[in-house]
Amino acid sequence: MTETGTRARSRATVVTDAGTVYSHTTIRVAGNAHVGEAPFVLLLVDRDDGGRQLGRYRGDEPPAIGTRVEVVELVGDVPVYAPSEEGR
Amino acid sequence: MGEAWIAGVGSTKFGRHPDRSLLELATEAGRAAIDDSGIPPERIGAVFVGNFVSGILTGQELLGPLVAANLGLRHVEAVKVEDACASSSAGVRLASHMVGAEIHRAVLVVGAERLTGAPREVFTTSMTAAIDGDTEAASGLTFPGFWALVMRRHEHLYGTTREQVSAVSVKNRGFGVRNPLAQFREPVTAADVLESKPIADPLLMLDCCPVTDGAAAVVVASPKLAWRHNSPAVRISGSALVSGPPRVADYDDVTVHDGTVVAAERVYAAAGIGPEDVDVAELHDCFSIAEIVDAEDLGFFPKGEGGPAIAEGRSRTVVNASGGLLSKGHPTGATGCGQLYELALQLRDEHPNQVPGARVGLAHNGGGTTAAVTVHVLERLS
Repeated sequence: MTETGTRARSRATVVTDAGTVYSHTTIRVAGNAHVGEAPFVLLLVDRDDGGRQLGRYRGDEPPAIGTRVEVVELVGDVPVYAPSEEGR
Repeated sequence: MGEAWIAGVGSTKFGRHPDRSLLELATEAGRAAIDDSGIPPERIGAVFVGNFVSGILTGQELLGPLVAANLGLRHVEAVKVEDACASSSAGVRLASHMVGAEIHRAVLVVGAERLTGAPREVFTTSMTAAIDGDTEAASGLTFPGFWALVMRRHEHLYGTTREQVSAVSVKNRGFGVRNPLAQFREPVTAADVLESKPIADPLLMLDCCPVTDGAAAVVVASPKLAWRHNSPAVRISGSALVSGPPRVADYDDVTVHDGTVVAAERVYAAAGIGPEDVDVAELHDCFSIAEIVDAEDLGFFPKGEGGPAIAEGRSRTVVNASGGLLSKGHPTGATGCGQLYELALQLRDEHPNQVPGARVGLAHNGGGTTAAVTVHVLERLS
């Protein structure tokens, strides 16, 4: 996906794909399927459209609980979050 | 329903057994439990073998009939029971049903696991077999990761501190020093915990139970049979197996493990006791934060007060006098029977860390994301 495409998607989905960080961790020892990816940040996000979802975070330092985030990419079915553009 | 007693217990040492097969360990523990009970093997009508990942890591299955045959038991109901890290205590729950319903007068439950020796990534992958492969596994979640998410939230809501969580490891490793079955018999300090390697932030290596081989077994029998053979029995006065959220996102509140809460309500009602009556408990401290959450959910402390209460030693109940999973190790399928082994010794006045006058014991064993929960209350026979 091009950078332009990513930005277009995040603008289009900012309402339904946004949420608030409920909890987070940085996985440093991963299973076989993800061993080359570690360390990586996992977020549990309370989504604005209801429900809670586990996803990845685009960044090395996890955002604090309560931080607004939005989906910027889907890898398979796994959402990848970044800080929300709302407050920028 | 009639009563079910634990008529005998047995256990291998927990630790690294590179030269012994899963079946050898299971057979040793099973034989020890039968011998301990004094019940003739031909009285045993069923054999349940609790195991989590033998198929993945050792390639061995058909554990029920194999263990039965190795023990010389023929034509019994033999089957493997799998509920991740709660496999063998789930087997004890099923055995208590069978004995209570007078289907069998005695049932042998063996928990066994061979985990060491596999490359770290293979081991980690095998443990994630208990994470939902259709949803959360794809994110890269691990079990340390699950408990790390719980710990972050517990810190956020209740102000639980790193020092309080480390105190669980320090306490349990201290108890492990005197337990000859434990994998780790050296104490650790809070500084040791703090300096250990990060696994899944904020969890560190010494917050995590080790990788372990081992087996443990119990004979569940009718009171009449146990009495006839003069078994060193203890009463199962409450037994519950409860399903909880199998995905971290399914929790309303990840600091409240509702499977444990419900299982506790059921066993307290069955036994006619409350948490204040429990003298000694074996809790599923797969990670140090888990003991805090478990103790709260079992009603030993109000939610959020487990951290300071454990760190300051304000517990009426002596928790994990065996050293817990943090010292004994966690041979997943064997852990539930291992906990009941420790409690039985306490209620028989035979434990290396004996709690004087212990009359009521409680075991809490959790599988997956506390998705399979057993709680057992055992009582000394007067």
